[in-house]
Amino acid sequence: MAAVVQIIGYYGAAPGTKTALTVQRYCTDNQRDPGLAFPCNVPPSGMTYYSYWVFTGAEIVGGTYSQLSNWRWFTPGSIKNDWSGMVQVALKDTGDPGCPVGNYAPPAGVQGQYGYDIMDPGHGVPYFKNDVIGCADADLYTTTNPLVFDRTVFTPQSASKITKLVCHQYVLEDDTTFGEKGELSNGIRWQEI
Amino acid sequence: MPQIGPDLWKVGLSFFWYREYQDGRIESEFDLDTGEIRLWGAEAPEGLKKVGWLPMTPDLAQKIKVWGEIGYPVQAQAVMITLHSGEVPIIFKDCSVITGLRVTCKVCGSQFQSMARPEVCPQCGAKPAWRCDTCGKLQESEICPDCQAISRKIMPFAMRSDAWEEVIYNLKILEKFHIRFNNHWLTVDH
Repeated sequence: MAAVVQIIGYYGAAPGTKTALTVQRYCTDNQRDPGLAFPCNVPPSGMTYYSYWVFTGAEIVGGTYSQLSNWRWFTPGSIKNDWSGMVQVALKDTGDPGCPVGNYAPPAGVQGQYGYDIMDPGHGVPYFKNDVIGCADADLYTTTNPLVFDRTVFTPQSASKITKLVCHQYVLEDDTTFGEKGELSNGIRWQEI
Repeated sequence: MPQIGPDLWKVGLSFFWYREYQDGRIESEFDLDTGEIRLWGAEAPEGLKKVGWLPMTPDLAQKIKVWGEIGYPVQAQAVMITLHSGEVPIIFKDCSVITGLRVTCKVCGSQFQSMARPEVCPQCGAKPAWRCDTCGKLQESEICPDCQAISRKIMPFAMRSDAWEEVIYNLKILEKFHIRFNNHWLTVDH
């Protein structure tokens, strides 16, 4: 037996609009994939720019199962090498590092220029920005060492079938290579019985 | 098709769970006659004698299709353990949906999936090389050893985005061992 799972993101004004994902692009607008519009920009010397943050999670939309749990997110671990710049992912001081859907914060920044840091004290994601632990390099989370972002056990009786959301963004330093980047691999894993 | 829609995933199974009770009853994830689904439940039931994973057969894959399930027949051994007194088995699947790269080797034509840009073809061993613009020679370094000229990188791979699923089957006895496997490999952690 197997569950039917959809990979989702959230976009738009709070409380956010659930959006099925086939592509999710780091950009400088509150959109899933604006193509080459609203690109991430290489910052002036000595500065750091960010993409708008994005949220990624999963929804169980059907199928037959007893339990789904232990939701994990992983990357190839080579983003810095493949892209230059890095992807940072939000963590929590305590509890799961995924953001509950109810705590969604619209991606924010200066449209077409840069996004705000997830941890920005003024403009960051309220669910994360006051935590001490901060963000981590997404390259740390690989298929053998994934980020466990939601430990919720989902059953067919669970009221909500949407996981918490991984919050991540692209970080550009002044030496980040200019130009469109290749597609970034990533994965979501869950435990099913 | 495991990707049952542009953004919908339902994993296909190469193995299905099996459990045998001390009183001789036998249960499995799918009814072997009808293909009907049976749930494992939140926890292992009492009174089990044997537990494990059986390989999917072509016949069962056809039967479970009627119930909306996807089976990939596989020629493999069953992974089965006999339980000792007090042992509680934990059985589950680790299911992954991965967006990555479908790589075609231009040298041997083989195709494979990869999360990262490959450094070497797993089939023929082809890897990126540099061609000197001056003498045309292929070599392993960016600077031509003969001409000292900077060379152009030649990639033996064509890549396009792809998405796929992976299932790893798990069977563990707490504080004793943990078996992980698919139809290519098996590991045991003690």
